[in-house]
Amino acid sequence: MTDAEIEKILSHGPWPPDATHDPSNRVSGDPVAIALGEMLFNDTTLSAGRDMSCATCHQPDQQFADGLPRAIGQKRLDRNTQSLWNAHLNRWFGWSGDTDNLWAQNLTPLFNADEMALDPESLQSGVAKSQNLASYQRVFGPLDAQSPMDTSVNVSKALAAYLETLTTGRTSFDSFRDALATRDQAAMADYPEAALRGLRLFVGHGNCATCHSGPRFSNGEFHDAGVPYFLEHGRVDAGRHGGLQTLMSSPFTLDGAYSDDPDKTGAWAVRSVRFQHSDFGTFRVPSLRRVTLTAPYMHDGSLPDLRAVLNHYNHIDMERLHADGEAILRPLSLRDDDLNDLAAFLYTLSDD
Amino acid sequence: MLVALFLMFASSVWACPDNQRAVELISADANAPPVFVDMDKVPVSAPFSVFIQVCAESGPIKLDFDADMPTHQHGMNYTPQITDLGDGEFQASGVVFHMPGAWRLRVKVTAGSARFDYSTEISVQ
Repeated sequence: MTDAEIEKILSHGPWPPDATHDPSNRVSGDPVAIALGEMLFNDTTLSAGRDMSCATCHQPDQQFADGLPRAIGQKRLDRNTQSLWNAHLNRWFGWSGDTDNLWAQNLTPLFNADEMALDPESLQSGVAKSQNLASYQRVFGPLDAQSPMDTSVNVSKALAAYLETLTTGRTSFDSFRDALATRDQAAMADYPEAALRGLRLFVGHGNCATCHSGPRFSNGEFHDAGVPYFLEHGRVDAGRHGGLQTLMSSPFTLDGAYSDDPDKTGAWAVRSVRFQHSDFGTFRVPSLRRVTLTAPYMHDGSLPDLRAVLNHYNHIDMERLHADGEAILRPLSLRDDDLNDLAAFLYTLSDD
Repeated sequence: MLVALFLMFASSVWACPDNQRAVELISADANAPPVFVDMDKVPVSAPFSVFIQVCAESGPIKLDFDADMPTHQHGMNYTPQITDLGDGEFQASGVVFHMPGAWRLRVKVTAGSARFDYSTEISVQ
């Protein structure tokens, strides 16, 4: 391996990151709030019909996703359900980044008429009837002393405290990466040869690490992957363009009054993010940790398996990319053996 | 006017930079005063600061900073905040290079009616 290859590979670690608490969430890291959050995550009283919980779509035994191309709430939704593993490490949340923090993101499905279909009043009413009321009041105090919106934000923060615990473990890639860092040849030899070839393609000719960078294998930003953003009946999914519009009208950002952080840590992003013409139809780069366990893929779930994703990038239709957008993607024209090697590498991100 | 400004720059050049790590930016304008940039190791997709030193005394100076990836045909996703630290030094904070690769740093110095454009390219890994 060249020094440049080694530097690129080392940039994908170490893993896991140090545990940190979210200063915008006063119950972040609180064991009682974490336990409450897990109970609320599975609580169907947090939906208008009392028939859906967070776990309905984010199923723990499905990697906190649902295995469907597009989520089903009160109706079929426009996007694929993303896994919640490592979600707390994001800068932006959801496929379009319409929130800048984890607790605010939890309010999106709660208040979406096509998902949990609540409003602050009905959410507070749900908490009052919930078997988790006593636990809620232990963390946040008397319910009847709170406004409906304050209760809603409290629920979202308890959920966030739980979701912050969902960090994936160390994989065989991480063992190889750390062995490479110390030049431990014996430990490096344990890494499968096909995965190593795939890793070198990933950081080299495949150009995958341009967007799937860092220890999470995502730069956390938004790109056009050449997946159509047209929906049925002539509708389009505006992606990041729409996400930014929602973000800017939200009172729940890190710069807003519902943040518990007087220093507004992290608010620099919402204050300085740029609106760009090229945002239209772009979506957040997903992490690749546990990627082989979270099919189907892409923002609309249109690619059923990993091979379909690799084939998509191998023969990408340049006509589907913004003419005036980024010039990053090009057909890779890899052989089947190369694609097999890339898949072998991706499996080593999913074997924790 | 440009000549007058150049003479003013040339006659009162500050001793800068004193940091061996600083990189001089390139301007196509032969009259442009030297400008240097300095930064720690650049992280990918995380905010950092660029320190910019304009090596001339000319009264009030306005400085703009931006960056792009020419081969990718995109710029930054965030607007950096520029702080005038005095003595010709500026800090661009909240700079985010969201991809590894070749980034072009672009600086514009405005002094009165004179404007000078600078750039340099760095590799981010």
